[in-house]
Amino acid sequence: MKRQLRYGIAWILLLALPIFSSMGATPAAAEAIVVAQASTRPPPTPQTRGKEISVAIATFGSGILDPIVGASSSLRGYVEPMFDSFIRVDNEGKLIPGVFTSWEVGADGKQWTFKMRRGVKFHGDAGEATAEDAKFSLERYLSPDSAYKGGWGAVFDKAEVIDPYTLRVTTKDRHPLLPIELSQYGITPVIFLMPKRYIEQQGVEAFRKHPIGSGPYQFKSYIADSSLELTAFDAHWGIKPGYDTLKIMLVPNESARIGLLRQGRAQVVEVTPDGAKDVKAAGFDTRAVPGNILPSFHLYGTYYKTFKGPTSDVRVRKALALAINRKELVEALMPGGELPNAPAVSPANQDIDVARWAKKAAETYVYDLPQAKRLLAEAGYPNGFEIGLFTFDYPGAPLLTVAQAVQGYWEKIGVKAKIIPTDYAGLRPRFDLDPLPASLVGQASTMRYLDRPDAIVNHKAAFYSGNKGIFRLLNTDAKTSAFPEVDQLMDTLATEFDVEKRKKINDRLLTIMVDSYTLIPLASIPTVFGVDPKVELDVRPFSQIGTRIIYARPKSDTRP
Amino acid sequence: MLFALVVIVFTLTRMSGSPAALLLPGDASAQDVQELETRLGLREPLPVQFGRYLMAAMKGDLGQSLRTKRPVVDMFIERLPATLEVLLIGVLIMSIGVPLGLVAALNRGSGIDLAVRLIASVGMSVPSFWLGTVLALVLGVWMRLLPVAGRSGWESAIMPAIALSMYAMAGVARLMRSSMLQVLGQDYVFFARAKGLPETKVLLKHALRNALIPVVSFTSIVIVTQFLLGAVVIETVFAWPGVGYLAFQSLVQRDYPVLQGVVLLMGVVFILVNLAVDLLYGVLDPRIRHG
Repeated sequence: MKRQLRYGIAWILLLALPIFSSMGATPAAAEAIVVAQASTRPPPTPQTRGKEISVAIATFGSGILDPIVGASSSLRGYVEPMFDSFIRVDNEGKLIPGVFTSWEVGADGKQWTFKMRRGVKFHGDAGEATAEDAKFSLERYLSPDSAYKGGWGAVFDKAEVIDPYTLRVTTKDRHPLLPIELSQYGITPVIFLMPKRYIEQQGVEAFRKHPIGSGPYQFKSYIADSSLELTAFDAHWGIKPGYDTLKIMLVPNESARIGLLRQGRAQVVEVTPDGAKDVKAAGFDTRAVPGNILPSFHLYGTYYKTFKGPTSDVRVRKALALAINRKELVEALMPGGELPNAPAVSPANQDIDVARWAKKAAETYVYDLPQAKRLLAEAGYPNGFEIGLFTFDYPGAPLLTVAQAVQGYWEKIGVKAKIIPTDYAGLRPRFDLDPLPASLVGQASTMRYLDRPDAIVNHKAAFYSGNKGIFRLLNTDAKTSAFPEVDQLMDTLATEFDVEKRKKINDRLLTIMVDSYTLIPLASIPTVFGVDPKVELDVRPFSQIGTRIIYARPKSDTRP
Repeated sequence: MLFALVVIVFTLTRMSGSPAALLLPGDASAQDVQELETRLGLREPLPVQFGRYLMAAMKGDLGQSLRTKRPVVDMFIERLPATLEVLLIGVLIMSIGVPLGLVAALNRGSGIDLAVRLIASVGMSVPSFWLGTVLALVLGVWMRLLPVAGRSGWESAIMPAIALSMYAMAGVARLMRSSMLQVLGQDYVFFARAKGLPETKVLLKHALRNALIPVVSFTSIVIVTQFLLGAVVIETVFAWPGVGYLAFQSLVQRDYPVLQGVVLLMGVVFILVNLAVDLLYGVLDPRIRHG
């Protein structure tokens, strides 16, 4: 009897294994609404169409399949293949027609008229996209659920449907950046076309379980924080998907991502510049989006009139900047990276004379220990001082190791930095306090900026008065600001359409920022992808993987 | 005990940062952050938040994820099979430690004994995350035998299971060996042999059964400390979509309800495992059953 019992238990365990294997893998599709295939006759698929491509990325951000939720840049990584931006970007970085085929702004600089493409289909039976959907999409970013309610609400006033293919958008002020924000370049917010009827009829929760967009790939299944599976949408108006299936996997561990590439289980993987060496050594290709991440360091609260610490003296801040050997730092910790440009300026920034500022940065951010020591002595700190250096990890930028290197450099001039490891969620709430908590005033942190087509978004976050985000540096209060000119310049820049005038304003702003030595750039590093040689994938400045993967296709010469 | 666990987890998660910071873009204004926190109910006094959570939890409602808006219990149940799959394979691997320890004890001082002790020492010294990475490199990348990440069939559970259970298997082998050696020196074993029982019966019925008691006790501890807590690390290393990975993602994203729910449910599992072990003592040792 006992033996029978034992055998019974053993058989139950063995039989349970495949049951457990199959349980839980049931994707969201199982409970999602069944959506029929597009009724339109699909255009012929390209000859080079592949069966499946898998992409492994480091973060899904919020992990919610809804463009209005979740933090910006990571969203493009996995959501974009399902949705269309309103305006596309060509290989030279110029805005070209997408869902919006043309756009013009009225004399007041506020009223924009967009013409919509005919024949833009939503996935399944959600129908053709019209100006009603565009209006609904833009307004949805103001809803209570939106992560961008504040920022977008400060720009967007209203949208009016003139006819099914014409939309009029009014901004609250003159806003020359609107086309960029509606394009594939847009980061805050990431604005996509969404189906009004489907979301209103099925509800937001249904939309999040089974997102419907008009992008070149359509939703198939999603296992939260694990993998997203999409299938080709042949009725897309402009792009012929290169693969039947696109699978995007969340794999936080870089070694595992590289392992998947080497095993052939993933064809495109996100790697650090350091990991790119392993990828190349294993015979795979790499693609680098240049200047995608801009590691820097911040010195906080230095302009409080009540603050009288070492870093309230600009000579000290300059000394801290001069003590860092950026060339060595880049070569040792960020291979593939480059020396930095001016603060939060990336190689492809528009309306900035990038080459001139690169030269200026090379002259400013030199490695000059004798001068750094002399400046400290002049400021009354010949033996250095102690400073807290906050740091947090960030995918693609080795900020923790960078902080350790900076600590070493500063030690050479007698400055003892105490590294305070934290993470973004732990650090951010402190910056929402006014005034800044004493634990931050006079302290430093490593920081990273993401490149954007127009640097003003980065600069405003750091230097505009009243901005209490994590990047705030100079003007905590316009009345006590050391640089009231900054606010005025940024206000003018935000409404100025003339490119030459924008360049002049940016020149003046950058001069102030560089001279302030509060946001000190360290490097300009690429976002790197390891790519299977059988895959044709181009990357462009500013682009996230989701922006480019929709153009990926098998290399025709490698197909059997 | 569960109440204490809830209090500790609730307090620690609130001290660790705001989820609003991660749900909003980096340059979001303080007003945006405050609005979101208000909507998520995070700006209410902590005792109010805790009271509301406790009342709901007592009714079996562990709340909704701040990110996905899905019920925590649903997310836990959805991820549980993946964790159980690894756990089950891990327990099978762990149980290899029993015959290993037995063979080592019966061949004390031999080459086999030395080999088992070496395996046990290495197994107990190697951190699971390191072992996981090495396994991925050797079995996954070099030999291409097993997938290095994700859940794509039963074979993808093997490496996470080995990484999770190596410590437990080594511990069981070591404990089994020493326990068996101790038992073999007892009078009742001597008596059993003296009365002429076959050696197999002496070993399996009289010695092994008694030697297993400390092993079972050890097993209950490692199932919780290694398999459940270790799952947070190992499932992340292998991108294995189980409860541990869910806990890690919730921690990173400051998804308080999910993190609290996962820890609370793991606490329940801990209690159930201990209960099962107590009952098993009775099966193994009649003195406990009839005591």
